[in-house]
Amino acid sequence: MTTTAPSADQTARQRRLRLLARADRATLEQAWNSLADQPGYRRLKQPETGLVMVRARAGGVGQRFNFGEMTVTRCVVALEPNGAMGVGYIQGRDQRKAELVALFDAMSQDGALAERIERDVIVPAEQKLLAARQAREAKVAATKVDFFTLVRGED
Amino acid sequence: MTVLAPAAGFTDPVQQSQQAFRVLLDAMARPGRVVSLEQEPGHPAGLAPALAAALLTLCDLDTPVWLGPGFNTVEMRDWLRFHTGAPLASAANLAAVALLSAEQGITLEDFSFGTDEAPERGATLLIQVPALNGAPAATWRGPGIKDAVAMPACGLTPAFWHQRVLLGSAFPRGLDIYLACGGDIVGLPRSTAITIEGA
Repeated sequence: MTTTAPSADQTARQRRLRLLARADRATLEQAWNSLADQPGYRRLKQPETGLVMVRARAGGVGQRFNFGEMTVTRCVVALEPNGAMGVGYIQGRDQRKAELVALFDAMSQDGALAERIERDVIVPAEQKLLAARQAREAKVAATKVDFFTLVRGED
Repeated sequence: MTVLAPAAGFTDPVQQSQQAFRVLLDAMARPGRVVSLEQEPGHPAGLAPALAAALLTLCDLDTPVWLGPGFNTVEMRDWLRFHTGAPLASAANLAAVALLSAEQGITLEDFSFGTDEAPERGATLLIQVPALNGAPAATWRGPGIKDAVAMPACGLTPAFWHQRVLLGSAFPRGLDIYLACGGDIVGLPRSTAITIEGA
């Protein structure tokens, strides 16, 4: 199987979907409600919850093994105005959140709206994630213990 | 970059595909009886709603689909892949399900009849026909039919019916066929014997 490097568009969409999926629902709901011109949409795939097998390699090398199953909810929507399709895959069972992610993904395919969504939803979500990560790292770093061995007298 | 959405499918896939499956079973169990598929899924232009429902019900990741002439369009491929995930067969004889039109010549030999050990490998043909009624042109007999039923040609050519008559000798190998027009569908399983009127 050959894999081709993702295009710039794909990379941007991957980043967008990753951040949307990890944003919390209240933030997304608020951003959606604050839109003055909510586009009409239809659901191509109703939100549905299922399991996805997560596979991993110990240390990132070696044989792949089944790490465990994860609950995933997905939804696909199409916007009425331009037929743009958006997908939302999120961890957990929050069906409304999956729908919101799909909506923002679909709207982001329109250049003008994309900038607004980037500014109002994606960047804040990224900063929030980053802050949470730094807080956790700081907390972990505070408990760091330096091990050292005293020189023993060998007999 | 805008990813355009394919046509819609079932609005409630679980319920509607089960209902459609029941109707498809009934159609195969009672060859020659016109039954209607009431679920009208979204579908690409040019495809009969009954066939759209049949495709959404019968196809999944394990059923290679052959799209015959006239149906092998980008719109059709996107729709099928999005809703069913079914792979496209690279050749007609590898297909489990084939979508065909009566307006194009159909050669039954192109498709897999299965083997004597595994007759269930025979393909299922979904054929879009211009009509399911008309002057009787053939008599169908066999399991599921009380005595005999007179059926019209359904817009299919005499050459097609001749091939289908000859196919009877291959039983238990063979092809299961659905003929559909609009929302109506008729089953023609491999076990049905056909006699052409005046032949």
